[in-house]
Amino acid sequence: MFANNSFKVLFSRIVYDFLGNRSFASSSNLFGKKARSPYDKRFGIRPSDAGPLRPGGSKELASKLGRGPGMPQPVGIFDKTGKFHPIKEMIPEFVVPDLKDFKLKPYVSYRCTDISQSEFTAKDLFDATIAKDILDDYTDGKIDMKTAEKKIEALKSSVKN
Amino acid sequence: MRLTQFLLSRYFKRYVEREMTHRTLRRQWKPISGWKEAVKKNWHYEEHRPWTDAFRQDNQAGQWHPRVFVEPIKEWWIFKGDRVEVLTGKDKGKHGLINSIIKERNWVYVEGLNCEYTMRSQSPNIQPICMKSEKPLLVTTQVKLIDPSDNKPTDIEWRFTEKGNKVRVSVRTGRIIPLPSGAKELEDFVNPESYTECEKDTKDDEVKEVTFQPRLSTFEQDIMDAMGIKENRKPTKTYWY
Repeated sequence: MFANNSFKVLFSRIVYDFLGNRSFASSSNLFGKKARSPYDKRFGIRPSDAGPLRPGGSKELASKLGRGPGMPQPVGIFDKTGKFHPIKEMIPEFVVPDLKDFKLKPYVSYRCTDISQSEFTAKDLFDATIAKDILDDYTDGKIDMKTAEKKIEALKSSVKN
Repeated sequence: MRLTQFLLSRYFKRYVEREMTHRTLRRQWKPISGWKEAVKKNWHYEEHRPWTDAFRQDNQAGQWHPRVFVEPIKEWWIFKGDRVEVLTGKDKGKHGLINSIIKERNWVYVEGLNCEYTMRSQSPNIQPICMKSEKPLLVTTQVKLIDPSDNKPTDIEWRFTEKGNKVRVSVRTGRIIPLPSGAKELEDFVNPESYTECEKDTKDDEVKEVTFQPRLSTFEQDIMDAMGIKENRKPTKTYWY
């Protein structure tokens, strides 16, 4: 075993390295900040490890490595082979009405005086929309059990369909 | 429910908070509890405004300043543009107009008074120039409002007129001290009365126009009706247990 000269040299080198001032990994070193710089060797390089605030990192490098916190979501799915399939429904669609003759602007002038409004409650909504119809029906005499039952049956059939 | 004042004041406060905390306070990842937002309470205020770089440098992590004790003032009686007498220092007895106010420290800067003179030169060979800069004065003790009737310093009280307006009244003579133009100035240094409206500003009458029509439909239904979007698809069956 020790006959081989090269092995002897290798063995002695290892021993001398050990006896010399080489540090060896212990549990106290594995969880410190230095163990994770430039990146955590147990897991590999993440996009945030190459971010602009890290030494040696930049925004461009991080974007190449993958999706970071400031980057948009992919608009589809990557399959097993790595091919990208875009999904139309994942692309955000902004439904914006026609702003012609729209008077409101992005900012409010400092000259505007205070506005004080009362709260618009559910009762106000009821009064504004249905209350009048109900009153009219009641005065006409249309509100009675038979018509109510007919309406309920009509609603049930529409829900089933 | 007051709408406009509330919106205006929060807008500027949010801006200031954002400028103060951005790049100074960073959240930390804690293994079990998760992201911990850094909250700083002991902000140190000097002559620099909170959105400036100098303020950020003063309040960097690791910076220590001796504790500052500030007398809390509920209602400020001094405003920008007020005529005031300096009671302490080299310029004792002199009258001046107020330049700026720093409420976090109860400081007031009087124009041209209570200054410090420093000699500054760009390089050792160039002759130094004398720079004059105002030093702050404490509102509570070092400065007093001037009574217009006899041009002497007085203490004042807030009182109501017959019409119901709140005014400052000199305790000694009873003379009303009128508010300067700076009293109407808002937090973001804008005087609403002298503000010129731009293209992107909605005007008063446009804001107050009521276009709300109560309808018995949800927000999504309203949009669909307005845009002419028709949904004929039936949703799949969902179950809840």
